Amino acid sequence: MGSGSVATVLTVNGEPRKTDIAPGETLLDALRDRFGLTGAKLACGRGECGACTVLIGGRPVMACVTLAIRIDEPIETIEGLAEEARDLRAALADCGGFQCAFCTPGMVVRGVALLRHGLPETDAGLRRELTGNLCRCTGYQGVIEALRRVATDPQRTEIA
Amino acid sequence: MTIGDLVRHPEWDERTSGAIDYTRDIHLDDVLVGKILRSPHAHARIIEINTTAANQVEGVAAVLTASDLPDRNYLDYGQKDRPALARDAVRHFGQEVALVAAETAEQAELAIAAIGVRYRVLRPVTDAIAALQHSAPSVHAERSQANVATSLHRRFGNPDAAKQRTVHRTKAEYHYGIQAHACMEPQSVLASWDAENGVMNLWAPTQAARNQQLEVAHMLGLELNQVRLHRVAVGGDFGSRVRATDIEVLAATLSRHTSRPVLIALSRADEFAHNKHQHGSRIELETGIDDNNAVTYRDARITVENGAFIHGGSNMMSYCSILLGAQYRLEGAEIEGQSVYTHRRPGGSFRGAGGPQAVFAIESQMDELADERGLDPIDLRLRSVNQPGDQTITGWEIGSCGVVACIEAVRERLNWDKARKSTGSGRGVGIAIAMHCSGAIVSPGTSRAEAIIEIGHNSGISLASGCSDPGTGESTVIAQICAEELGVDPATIDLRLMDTATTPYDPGGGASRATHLTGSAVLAASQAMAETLREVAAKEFGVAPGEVILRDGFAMVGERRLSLGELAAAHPDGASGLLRIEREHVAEVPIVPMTADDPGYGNLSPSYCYAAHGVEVQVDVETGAVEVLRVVAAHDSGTILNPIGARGQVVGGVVMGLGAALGEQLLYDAGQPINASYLDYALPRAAQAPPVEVIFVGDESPRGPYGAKSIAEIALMPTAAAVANAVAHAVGGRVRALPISPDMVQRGLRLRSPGIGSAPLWRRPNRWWAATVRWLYPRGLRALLHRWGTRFAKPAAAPHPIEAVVRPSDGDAAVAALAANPDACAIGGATDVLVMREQGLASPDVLVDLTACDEFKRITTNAEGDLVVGAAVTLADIGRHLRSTEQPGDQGLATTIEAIASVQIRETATLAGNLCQANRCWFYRSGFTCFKRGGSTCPCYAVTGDHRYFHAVLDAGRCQAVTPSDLATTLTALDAALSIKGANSGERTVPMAEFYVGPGETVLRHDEIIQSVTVPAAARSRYAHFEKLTLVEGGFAVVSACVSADRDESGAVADCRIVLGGVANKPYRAGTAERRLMAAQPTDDIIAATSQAWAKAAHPLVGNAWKVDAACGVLRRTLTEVLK
Repeated sequence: MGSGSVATVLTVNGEPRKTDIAPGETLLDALRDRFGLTGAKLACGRGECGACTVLIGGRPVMACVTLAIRIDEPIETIEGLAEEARDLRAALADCGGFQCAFCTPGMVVRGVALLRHGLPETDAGLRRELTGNLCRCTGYQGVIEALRRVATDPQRTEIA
Repeated sequence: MTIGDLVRHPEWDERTSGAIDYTRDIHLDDVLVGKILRSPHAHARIIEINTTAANQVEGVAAVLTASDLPDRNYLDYGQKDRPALARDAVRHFGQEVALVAAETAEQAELAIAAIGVRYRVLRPVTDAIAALQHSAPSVHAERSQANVATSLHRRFGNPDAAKQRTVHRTKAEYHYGIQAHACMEPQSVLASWDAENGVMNLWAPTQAARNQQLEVAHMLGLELNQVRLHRVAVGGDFGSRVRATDIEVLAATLSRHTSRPVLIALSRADEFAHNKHQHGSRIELETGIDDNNAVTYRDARITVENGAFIHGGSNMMSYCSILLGAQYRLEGAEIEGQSVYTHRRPGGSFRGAGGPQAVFAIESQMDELADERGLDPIDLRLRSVNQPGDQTITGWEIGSCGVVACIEAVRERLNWDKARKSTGSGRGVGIAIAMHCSGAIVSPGTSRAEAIIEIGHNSGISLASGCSDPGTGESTVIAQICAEELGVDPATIDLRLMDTATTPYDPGGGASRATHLTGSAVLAASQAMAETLREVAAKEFGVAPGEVILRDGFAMVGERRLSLGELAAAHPDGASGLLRIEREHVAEVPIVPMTADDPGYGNLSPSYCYAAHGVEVQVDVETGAVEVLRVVAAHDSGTILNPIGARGQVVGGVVMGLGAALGEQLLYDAGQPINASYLDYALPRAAQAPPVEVIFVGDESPRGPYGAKSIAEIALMPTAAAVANAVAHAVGGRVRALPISPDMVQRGLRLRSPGIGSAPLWRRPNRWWAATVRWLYPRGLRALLHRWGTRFAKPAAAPHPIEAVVRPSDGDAAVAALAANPDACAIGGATDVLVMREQGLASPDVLVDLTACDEFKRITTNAEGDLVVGAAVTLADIGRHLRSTEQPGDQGLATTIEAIASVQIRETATLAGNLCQANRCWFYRSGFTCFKRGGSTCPCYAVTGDHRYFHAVLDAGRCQAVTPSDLATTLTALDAALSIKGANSGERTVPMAEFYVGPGETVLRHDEIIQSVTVPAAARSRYAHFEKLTLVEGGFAVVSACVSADRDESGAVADCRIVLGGVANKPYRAGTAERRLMAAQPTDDIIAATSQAWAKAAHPLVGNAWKVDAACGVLRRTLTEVLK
């Protein structure tokens, strides 16, 4: 236990996890190094690229610039959202929405938040929602198509 | 059938759920953290390195310098001029000088800081043209006094005869910028030395594991089979790690030295600043045509900025020179090239290997020729394109060639003929073509690949290949090939890839060889296995092998069937467990070496792919911004084996090409990187990527598995030229240098008509001092302050850990916590404080969390109708609230918020945090010891540095930075006021317009916080709108404008506020413009005049006068939106 570390309970994917958190520790570090949840990626460490996107209280945030010690809402990571996102993930595979897939966990988490609330009507509006998720491989088109496909799927039930 | 089908990536489930391991996800026990000490100088002799203090830092396991390494250089492409650690000289900023391995990253950083290096600083030369001057210092005096790293001179065909029948020629110079690969996974290497077995285990992202294996073995003096690259998921390559970067050998060395695993993981800043990138280059090109308007010859002179070590420079120049002679039917070509040593980090392989540069020059010039001859650009091209069966003057044997079909597809889908006729509206269309190899067979190593297929008695199929899939999709392609031949579902094949100990030889990706070379090896093994299985089945069924069908995992004859496992067990070789088939594929063409010393003539590749990209753009002639409306990408890659993957490569390549075309550039100041972050590097975001229509045309290739040709690199090649051609069509002026950023478009436009000028300086005595200083800067003042003034810089705060996050319950407790501790600082979302710590700009030990105070998280409307927003409300919450009111002023503020950063940041960042954020000058943020960072003896690097985008054009003094907050701009226009509380000073109210004293510097004292911001009812009821020009979606404003205005019953402007952002140290209230507008009817003329009225006061720097015009344009649009 480092100096200043505080015993903290973080609720991750529905499960309360007790651990020591250093005051300056980011949520990304806590997830990856303390909980072994390596799905969220460190790609920039500055909140600029979205590869570390997780949900806190249902809101998409950059885990790499989120201080872990003061989080008191439920945290959802790609590991916990993979099942809810199954249709989206299959659609990404079918639409070419990933290639190297390093950005993909963050993209999927962002996508889950979008799908829960409903996608913007326009293509431009939907693309703007993805401003915080950078991708170098796909040119984004496959991601957009996958999101639209899932959102307009008549089989899809509304998630309240 | 799986070939040509929509087949999911075999690992789609794992890849989309975060369940596969990239290098940093690998877990080993007792891993040490490796860190690198880098040179702060571009050119210096190393006099002495003292590691004594570093060795004594707690937790340090090793401190190494060049003297601890064998005296060897990297093999690279054969020239062997690059050491792992600098020996007696450093030749570029950031060059690796020493290594530390320690238990934790913090300890490693402390040790790095404790290494003492004495340098004798020497004069660097950091650009290629300067390096060729007689007076330039030599980068490697013993190799080349004149700084020519490699040179070539090639003649193809008969240039003299071609020139004789030339009736028209055109000549121009084309520049291609320094693009970063910008892989999403930053370079990381995990090395673990197994002393017992003498094996160096490595996990590192790469598309060519055997290159890394070779280099590490060579540098460490190990046998090849003593180095093992394990299989790991790779987060992109694009050439950045096809060959050893700088850290594989360093991590391996540390591990061997400490006998423990070592992880070296570059930060994103280091990835941009200290990893390979595209070579900057220029091509002087001349093209001739005959009286039939067919191309006759090309003369080219290529200058590549090599960097301090040869690395990829020679290779890229070589391929570039050949492509210059191959694309189109030429009679002759003569190409000279020089790759020039500079004191900069060397470039490396980059997608296209020099092809994008050649294509940019060729295709831009084709349009220029068409323009000069009064021909349609497509018609001109069609007269000279390669045809099927051609042999180019470079010796390329063109098999199938669908370039005409590609061009016609673009013509049709862009409605080309009609679109080309309309000009002058700022809208334009352009086309460019490209050709590329399907694997360049240049050496024995790159001419062959192997594959192994094994089938077990349980019918499990495994396919082993030494390739690795960095995202190109080759794992899917080879699974499909194997599945096609064996009659199984590709998802059932167990793929064993990359591991150098357990997979057969493969040269790895590169030169777009994977589908052809690896695919052919897999095809050979699969066909052999299928034949074997049919033979066994035939025997079992008593039929001829030709009657056996392999389908769904079985061999079938009529109703009878046997599983693949039963067949494997029945085969004599498979009886013991596994039926194993191994095959090698050797390229169908002889090796054509391609070093600079070779003539470069010969059939380099088994096949050549083609593409045509058509682009439609809209150019904003006021700001110079280019919007790409759509792209049509037509590709001839023969048989498309995996449409999902192929389409993805094209769209991804197009967007990467658009990045190169419009904004991506790594920038340096005397060799030191200045924009090493995603924030400042204009990689396209989703909203900047237009819809891309992908069309596959062309015939099956006579060579290649199932008739396939390559696609991965060509996708990047024609786009930039198509954009340049479209812009030229749109505005009638051509930009020949990439990226075509707004300032470049403006510069081209201003050549034709003068821009909006500022008042002459001699009439403005208050600007004489600044003008004098600016004049002196490039004449020695900057050098003086840099060399001597920075020695008196106040030292940066030593980084210390954050010791506590205090969560006060109310404002009084918050300010008391601040007052009690001079190293405490207030936080809202804290999205910038951690970044500032990393950048050495702040080192608070206690954070006072204002989001803990409920009183700061409220949004209320008071009795007067003013909006009161608490300091700790997130931007997203403010935005949602504003959209729910009916107030027009609120909508302008909501628009402002919705353009800030990203949803993720807005859900975290708070009002106060946004207003108080420090300036974003990239010199300040990149570690330059500037006036703001070091004090008044230090220079402002922006004066002579690259200040085109983010520096002031008005009123700037010692510091040229601007206040980055967009909310500051809009809240100023909305007459907002801040309620401030301090421990010692009680409460006070400060108008937004008086909040800033400098760029991102506020009136807040240490013990003060913002409690809330109030927008008065009157401002809320005025129409307000905000617009900004950015380099990336959500980025900081290059220029911005907020207008808040009211009209009276007659329609005249009754009240207005006009505020500009990005033009001055603080948000600039354009009083002159307001006075122009007040009481006037807002006609187009009045609006235009208003938008320019402020410009008289501008005093731009040498390179940012274009921002004055751009700001006038943004203001004009904002005024129009509010007043119409």
